[in-house]
Amino acid sequence: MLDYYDEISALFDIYENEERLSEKAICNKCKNLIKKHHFNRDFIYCINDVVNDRGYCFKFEIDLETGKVFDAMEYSFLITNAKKSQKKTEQLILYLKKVNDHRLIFASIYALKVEYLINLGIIENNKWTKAHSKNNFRDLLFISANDENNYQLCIKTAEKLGLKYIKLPYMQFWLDMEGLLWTIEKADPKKGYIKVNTIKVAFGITPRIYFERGEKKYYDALGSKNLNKYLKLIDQKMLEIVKEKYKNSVEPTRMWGYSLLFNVL
Amino acid sequence: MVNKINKSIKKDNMKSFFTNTYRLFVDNKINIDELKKRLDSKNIILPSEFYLLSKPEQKRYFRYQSTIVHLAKKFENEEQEVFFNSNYFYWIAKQAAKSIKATNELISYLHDLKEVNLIFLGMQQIKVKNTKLRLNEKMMEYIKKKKIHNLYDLMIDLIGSPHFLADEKELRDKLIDFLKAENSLGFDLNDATNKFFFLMENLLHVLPKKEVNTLKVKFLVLSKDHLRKSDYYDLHKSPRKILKNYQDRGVFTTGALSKLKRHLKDNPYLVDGMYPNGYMALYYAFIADSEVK
Repeated sequence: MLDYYDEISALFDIYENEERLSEKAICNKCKNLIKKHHFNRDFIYCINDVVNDRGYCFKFEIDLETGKVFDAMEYSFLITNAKKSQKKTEQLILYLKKVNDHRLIFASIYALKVEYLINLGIIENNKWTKAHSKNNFRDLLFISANDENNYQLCIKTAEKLGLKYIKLPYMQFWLDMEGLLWTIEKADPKKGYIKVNTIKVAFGITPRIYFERGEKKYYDALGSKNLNKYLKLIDQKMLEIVKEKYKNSVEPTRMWGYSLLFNVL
Repeated sequence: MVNKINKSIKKDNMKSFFTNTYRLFVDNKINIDELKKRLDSKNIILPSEFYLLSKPEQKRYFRYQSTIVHLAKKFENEEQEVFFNSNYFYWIAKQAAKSIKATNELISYLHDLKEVNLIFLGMQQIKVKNTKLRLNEKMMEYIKKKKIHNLYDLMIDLIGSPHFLADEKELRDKLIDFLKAENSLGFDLNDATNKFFFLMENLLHVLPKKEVNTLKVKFLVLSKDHLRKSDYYDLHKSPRKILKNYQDRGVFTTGALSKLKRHLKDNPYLVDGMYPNGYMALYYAFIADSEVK
């Protein structure tokens, strides 16, 4: 990445100081460079960084790949059966990849049994994963947080499940916030997930439709009344660790629900 | 009259001279010394900190429009995007305090930004006497009587107050029409969502301005870049503690709260159905607190 940045930066020095090109002309030069690099994503990110660092006001928009449109009926069928069937688990994973929405993936990984993931070759078959074969992937992911090797194993698995950018800092922040919410489920295994889903809906982290199965709603529709009570259930020790970790770095430029939640806590 | 027209032409010429000269600097045709020389020759004075900035910062100082080039369509699609530039915003706001023209420019900028939080921020910088509302005698009498200066305070006072006199209704309607007009801010207060944002502002209005800004930054209504450092407090304070402190002191038990609750009763799915935003989070934290008590 850095190599690209330096390479582009050197070109900008020539454009600005020797060729004295206008902003528009520099923009056109960038278009040619991007074509030459076959629309490489990393290269485009670097171009945008250099353009920004040099004070110009244009940028290249990497349009998001649009996935399959979410179908509540199809999803409900898959998610309710995935826990019981390896085949449905496989279909659910394929479905998540097609929809390509991290919010849906975070809302669904509780239904992925580790045993099935091992059988499907999505997660490595080793002593640790075997010991947790009855758990779901959501539990496994957060249990592994204190063990670097196992955590990396889970991250790799998450990448395979469609969380392509999970290693990037913003996603790591989201993951830490998910981890905080998970502590509510840990403390209240029976009803915790309803409380977590309610918080997620209230802060716009996840669209409510992802927690609806036909008539059934897996969140508290009048959540705002109990929201503070629910937030207090978050593990305070974990909360302090996350707060300390991100106290200077959460400078959200967009209204992401996780950032809102972080600031409220 | 001729003098007035001449003055106006001169001002317009100065503006286009500045825009063109600044463009030459952005386009690498002249350096900073040349820019200063050319502007000095026309007595155009830039903010003093401008010359202390780095070249990229200088290039971006007065810019508020960006070109987005879409890659998916192989560069065929380009669009202009207006973005918030705090340097430009506070620079134009400073001029707007004294000038009708600059006020119109600020209004048009806020209109193009189309963000309600920034509209509220900008309204605090707009003097009522520099807007079209100055042509309404009754309105001018009203702001004189109430000692109101900026558009934001006028909106809170006239629309936010729980009771208003019959003859104030006309002024209230005038103000709503003015805010809504396309050649003004394009901000429709009759829209249920906008009204919710307004009522949240109305609720917070009783707190000290710096405290409100601190809460706004914490709840992502505004970012730090939208404000100057002196406009908010230490951001390490817990926003819920700040709110609780005021709640315990009964600051919010005013008509503003009942107005907000009435609006939400009339529109029960409004907040839950919104795209996530800071006002919504503020509402959840606030209402949750008050209900738990």
